[in-house]
Amino acid sequence: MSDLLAQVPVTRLPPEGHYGPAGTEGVRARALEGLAAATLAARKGGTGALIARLTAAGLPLVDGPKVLFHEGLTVLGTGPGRWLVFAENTTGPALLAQLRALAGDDVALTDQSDANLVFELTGPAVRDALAKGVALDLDPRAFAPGDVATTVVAHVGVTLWACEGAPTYRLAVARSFAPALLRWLTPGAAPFGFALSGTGRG
Amino acid sequence: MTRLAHGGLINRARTLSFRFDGKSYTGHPGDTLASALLANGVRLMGRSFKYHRPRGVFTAGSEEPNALVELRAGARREPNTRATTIELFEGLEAQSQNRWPSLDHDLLSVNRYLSPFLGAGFYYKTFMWPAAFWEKLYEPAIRRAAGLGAAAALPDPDTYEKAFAFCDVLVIGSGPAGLAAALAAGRAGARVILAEEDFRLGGRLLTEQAAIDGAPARDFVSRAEAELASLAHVRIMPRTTVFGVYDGGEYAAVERVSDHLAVPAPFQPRQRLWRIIAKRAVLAAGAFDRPIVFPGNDRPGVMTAQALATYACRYGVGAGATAAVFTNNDAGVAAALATAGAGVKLEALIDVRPALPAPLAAKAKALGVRVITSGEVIATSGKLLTGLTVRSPAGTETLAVEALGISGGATPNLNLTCHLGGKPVYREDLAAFVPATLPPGLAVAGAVAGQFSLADCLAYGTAEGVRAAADAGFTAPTLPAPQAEETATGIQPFWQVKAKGDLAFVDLQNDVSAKDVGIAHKEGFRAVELLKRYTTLGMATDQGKTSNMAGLALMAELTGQGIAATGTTLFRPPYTPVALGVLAGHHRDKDFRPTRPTPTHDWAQRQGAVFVETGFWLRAAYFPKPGEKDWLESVNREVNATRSACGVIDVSTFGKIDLQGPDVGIFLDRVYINMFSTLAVGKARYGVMLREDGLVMDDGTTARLGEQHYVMTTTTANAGKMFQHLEFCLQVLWPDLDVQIASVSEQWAQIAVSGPRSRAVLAQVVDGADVSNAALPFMGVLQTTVMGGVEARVFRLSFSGELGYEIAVPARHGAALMEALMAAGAPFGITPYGTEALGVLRIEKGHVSGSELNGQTSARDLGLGRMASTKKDYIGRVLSQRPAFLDPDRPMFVGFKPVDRSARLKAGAHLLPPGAEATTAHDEGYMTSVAYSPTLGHSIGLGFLKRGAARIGEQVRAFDPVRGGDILVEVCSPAFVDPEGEKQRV
Amino acid sequence: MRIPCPYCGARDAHEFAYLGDATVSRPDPAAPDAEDAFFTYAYLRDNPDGEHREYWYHANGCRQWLVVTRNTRTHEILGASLARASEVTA
Ligand SMILES: [Zn+2]
Repeated sequence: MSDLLAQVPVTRLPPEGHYGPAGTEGVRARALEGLAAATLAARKGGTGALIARLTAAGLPLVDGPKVLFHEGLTVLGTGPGRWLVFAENTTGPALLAQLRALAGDDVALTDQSDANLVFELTGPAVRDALAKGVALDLDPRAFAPGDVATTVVAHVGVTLWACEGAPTYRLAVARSFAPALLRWLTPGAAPFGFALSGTGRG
Repeated sequence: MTRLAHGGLINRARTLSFRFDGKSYTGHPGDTLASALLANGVRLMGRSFKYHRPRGVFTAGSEEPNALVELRAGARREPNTRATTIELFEGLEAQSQNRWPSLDHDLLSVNRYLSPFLGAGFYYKTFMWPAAFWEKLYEPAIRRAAGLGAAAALPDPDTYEKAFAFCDVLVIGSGPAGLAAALAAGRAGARVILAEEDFRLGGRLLTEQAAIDGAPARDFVSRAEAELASLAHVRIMPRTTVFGVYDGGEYAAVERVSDHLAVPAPFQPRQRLWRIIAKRAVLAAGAFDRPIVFPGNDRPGVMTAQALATYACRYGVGAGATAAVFTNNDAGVAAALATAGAGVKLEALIDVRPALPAPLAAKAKALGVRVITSGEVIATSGKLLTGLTVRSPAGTETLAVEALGISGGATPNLNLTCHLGGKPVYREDLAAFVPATLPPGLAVAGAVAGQFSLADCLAYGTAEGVRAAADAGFTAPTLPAPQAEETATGIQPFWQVKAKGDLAFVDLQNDVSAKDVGIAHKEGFRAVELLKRYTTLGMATDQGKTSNMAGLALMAELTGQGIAATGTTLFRPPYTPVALGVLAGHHRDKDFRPTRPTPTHDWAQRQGAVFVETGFWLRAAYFPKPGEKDWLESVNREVNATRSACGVIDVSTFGKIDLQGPDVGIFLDRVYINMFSTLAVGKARYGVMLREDGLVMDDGTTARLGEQHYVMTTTTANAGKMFQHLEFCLQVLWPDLDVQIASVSEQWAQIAVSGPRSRAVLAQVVDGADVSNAALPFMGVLQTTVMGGVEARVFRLSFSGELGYEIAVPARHGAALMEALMAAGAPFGITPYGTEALGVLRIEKGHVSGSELNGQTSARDLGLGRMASTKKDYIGRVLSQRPAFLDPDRPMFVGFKPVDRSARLKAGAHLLPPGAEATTAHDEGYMTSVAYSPTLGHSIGLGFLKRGAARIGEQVRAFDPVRGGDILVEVCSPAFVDPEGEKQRV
Repeated sequence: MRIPCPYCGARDAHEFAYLGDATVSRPDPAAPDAEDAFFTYAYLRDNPDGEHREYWYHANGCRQWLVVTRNTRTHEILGASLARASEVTA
């Protein structure tokens, strides 16, 4: 265990602030607030029809580990015929209604707005920090913006996707596992200078 | 002082001070502890394992068998570190090991007079009898007298971490072959990782005298390193030992991030464990110089010829004021010449061969080195080496030397090629084992492949680098291989000097002598793997890197089988010792595993809860109040409050699974023993699931929220397993069913309110919904809002047996719901309770839980047999009908009360007929759960008893030999409280 | 060891849960010999030397059950397909 978090209860997110050598900021992490979320699953044999319907509605869904962004929606492929959708500035029930309107009755929709916390990770050393637990090749040649991976980090399941621009990733983690995930990330990112925000006083 | 006047890759402008066994010395940046000690004239570095013979440094690398020291002090003390690989740093502190009271005067060195008794197999022969003596006498004595260093007893103050790396080509080793391979692959555009165990790249090139591309070999190293560093897709990893090869192109390595510093820099780990996933790998691990066996070959001052040359050329150190070299091969001769060239006074070069190759002879002559051909060292003298006796056709003579370099030939460092089962083959022409079958994706180049000459190393290294890059998809043209002068590689196999005298050691680390190999042979332990176990040859920290060849060559000679047929022992990971700390990485202390807080964790903490780990979850166990003398008093209060008024508990840890689709009803019918397709919308039902073998897997309630929408709860412990099971059923068993499932365990916080006043409490938190018995009857489900608009699901369920509800809200509102319930219930004395009271409540009610669903019980055993539907098939149905499962004598679920009501029941006790002998034949069952029931005022228990239900009222003996319990108990119904179940229906 | 998940790509074996023999299939519970067939299905497994088809669950990934073809002697993974789509024969 790192001394860095010796005073932080294991049940809490580490408090926001700067960890590591002063004046360095190789990794920045920010907890994203106020996202609604839902899982979207096609009915048996209905993936093709669902994709066709959503594509016609301007949302060219892909049946694979890819992310697509559409009018405030972030749609992540998490399994065959399954997607995890995040939406900004809305509520779970409103997101379900929006998706229902888009996808019709023949899909399974489940509110997950309280199930996950989402973090945005960026900075020049973000890949080096993630490499301390993510068993995926994060080189842009192997994991480019638009790619999604559901994987496990330090015994914690995460869904990770690469965003455009300077190395930037977003990562969804189950709410009850978020403290454990940040307890893994913080000491690993601290050597590069780690700025954590959005977690309040922990 | 034996620091040479000039030369060496050390920074003489800076001086570092360090301490060894309490004495102060100085060295320079670039030194290892071993080179710095030699430079200070310290040749005695340890005592041997069994005989406590004085030992000095034997090698200049990680294969070191002798110079093991305890590095650092206090909590950072690390035993068995090799002085040959420790980079010198300011303030370094090290102690010698395995000596008492001091290195110089070791009283236990009398062990050497016991050597007749400490020979091969002594563990098995000497300490056989009586058995009790082993633990009390022999083992502690042996541990004190023999063995290696002691680990620190304090917690390690440093941190360790893990990391993953991906590359096209992993190059292991940065000698000529490794550098050439890395350059070739890097130039082709492949992502390359170059891992080097040393802190400096170059391997043998740091000692090499031959030129590359017309310039000194060291210049080539600098140029290659600079070019590799300039390539963005090449990563150079010094201080990194690749120690294991695994399936699928995966390699494990330890990077010693901070071992060369007194303490790690702020925020830096001491070491990092790398898992490198490489499309291709080139192993260029070089070769070890191996010893020749002769009497007294272990005196401090005797070392490998390559080590002697390395200390002279790389570190600018003469291992003695005067030196000699004893060899059978050209590389040994080259090492001698390099040593002499660096300024060490070389008294003689002794070669077993009748003549040296002409070019080497000429070089020796030019350097003024005396060559003794057809010579053998037959004895050594001095506590630290002072002289040699050399036998040659010219006669026997003595030489006064402080250092002797010996070289019996090169042993390819092929350890990693064996990790997936590869067996090396013996090449007579090289007198060496070379890799034969290789792990998939791994190639070998250079000395490890038996390509010993410098030119070959460069050529094969380049070729394998090009090939590896091409295999990984990079075919850009590369430059021609670097060119070097040809270096001679001749050898005349020679293993042992036939001479009488002192012990002639084969394995220095384990004190195995030629005589021990002879004993093993005589006693029939001739196969190499038996030889290893019987004599300990090749065991411990060095795993026989320098000793195995001589050991098996001696055995081959004794058996007359030849070396090829004798074979070599199999190498397994790790290549060198790996600290447990780095394998644990971040996962230690409080981070040993993740901790999952419940949605009401902080609230519970404010109430003073005592927490308990259940799986990854941290749950409130009980909520002590000031003045309560123990946990039982708190739990009794919580139970009483729940039964008399109202209790509240966070049950969010249950697994929750959302099921949607037209076939959910059919699907549930197939996975549960009871019917769910007939469940009305707005109702919940308790269900039991079996494994296919007919035993119970899990239980829980499932509610129907809509025509095609159900939500299932599983036990906390089985949440993940049940989801996996349902996915198996849907994807593998019945892919025709149209059902979509999603875990909603994290989405919903769930709080149970139980007790006669729970309806009154609930009524205050719902936004006006009718929660009367008529509107929300037992097993009813209400989808509504609470606390002014928060979406909620209210399930009228009871685990406690009281009127009760479970209220689910989106997780972020869990704590607020708890606060609202507490406020609403305050007038009734609402009481939070924890898992302890939960357990008491369910035992009083006779509800089964994990102790009863223990993987050995059927639904019938649990008294739930009548739930099983006869109208359908379900998982486990067929095998649950087997005769043995229907045997009336099977232990069945019942309750127990102690006949003496003041007695305490114990879970795990076995049940016997009163008066029967406590034998397995009389065993009639066992107690699974016990509690003190505050409701009844005595201890109660649940368990399984042969023909249980038919024996209510009987007395049986609860026998617990482990904890000394032996009492009479009365068999009763498992429902101690409200057996008719009326309270939950009011 | 790495397993090529058809959905996720090559992943560390730690992400997967192992079940075992994918060449057995659940017997017809209505068949007259159902009890014997289920006994075999629940308990009896071959232990082949060489190529074997096995169920692996991508627990920390796409949550799909896979049929992985593995050489039991060398641990070489020869391929993986979604169990839902594969034709599993007894
Ligand atoms: Zn997958």
